[in-house]
Amino acid sequence: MNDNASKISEALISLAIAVLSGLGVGSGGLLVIWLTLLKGVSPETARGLNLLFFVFSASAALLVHCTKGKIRLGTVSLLSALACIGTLVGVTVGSAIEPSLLRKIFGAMLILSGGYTVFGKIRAFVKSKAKAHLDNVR
Amino acid sequence: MAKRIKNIFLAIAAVAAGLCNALIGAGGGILLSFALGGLFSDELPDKRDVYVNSQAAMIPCCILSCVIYAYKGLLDTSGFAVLAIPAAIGGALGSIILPSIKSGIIQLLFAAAVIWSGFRMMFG
Repeated sequence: MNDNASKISEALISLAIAVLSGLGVGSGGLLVIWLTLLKGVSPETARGLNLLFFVFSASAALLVHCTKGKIRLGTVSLLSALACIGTLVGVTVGSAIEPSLLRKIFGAMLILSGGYTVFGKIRAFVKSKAKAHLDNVR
Repeated sequence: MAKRIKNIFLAIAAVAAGLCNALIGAGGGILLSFALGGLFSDELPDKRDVYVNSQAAMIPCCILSCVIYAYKGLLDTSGFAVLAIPAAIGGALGSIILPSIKSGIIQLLFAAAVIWSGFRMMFG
């Protein structure tokens, strides 16, 4: 693939990932995987680029949401300040915690919470179908 | 649950989100979304508003993380120019089409992203 075509495909992939990010779905994982597995970027560099990518995509999305009055400025400011404190604590104590253990614990937590959401949706769907069936029988 | 206790749990979740961002480089927004959506479902019934506000709260934290990464020499921006403009356009585009997408679909997409991120963190 020539250089221009490669750059165009990179831009399109970036655009698609950013759209997901703008939807609030969270797409950082996609960017990191694309950069590390397909582009051969080191995981540390990919994580840094992922953070920078999020700043660009989320800031653009934030401008749109602000015009629609969707942002609760007080809550967001407070949560931001607390998250920044967490980041600083993380940087300070980072070397004392085994990152691979932390990743595994957090990964398990994500699978459980995501699974809980999907299970809830399936249960609600089955309930609504069963209710519709009963209503038809009556 | 009393509002004061909910606020305390949300504050802990926000600190934990920042902690995850610093230690793992991802997952903070997901954590905050779950906490905000779970604890304040009565005040923010539309999940889209939960994601939007969680995402907004993580921006300063990500900027701080970027500064720290740059300070440590881990932020290589040489190839970022190609990604920057599509990132901004895509982010704006996603936020424009967000209201036209059903909240339930976003919830399922989000759950799928969460499960996928979880497997990536555990086995990646």
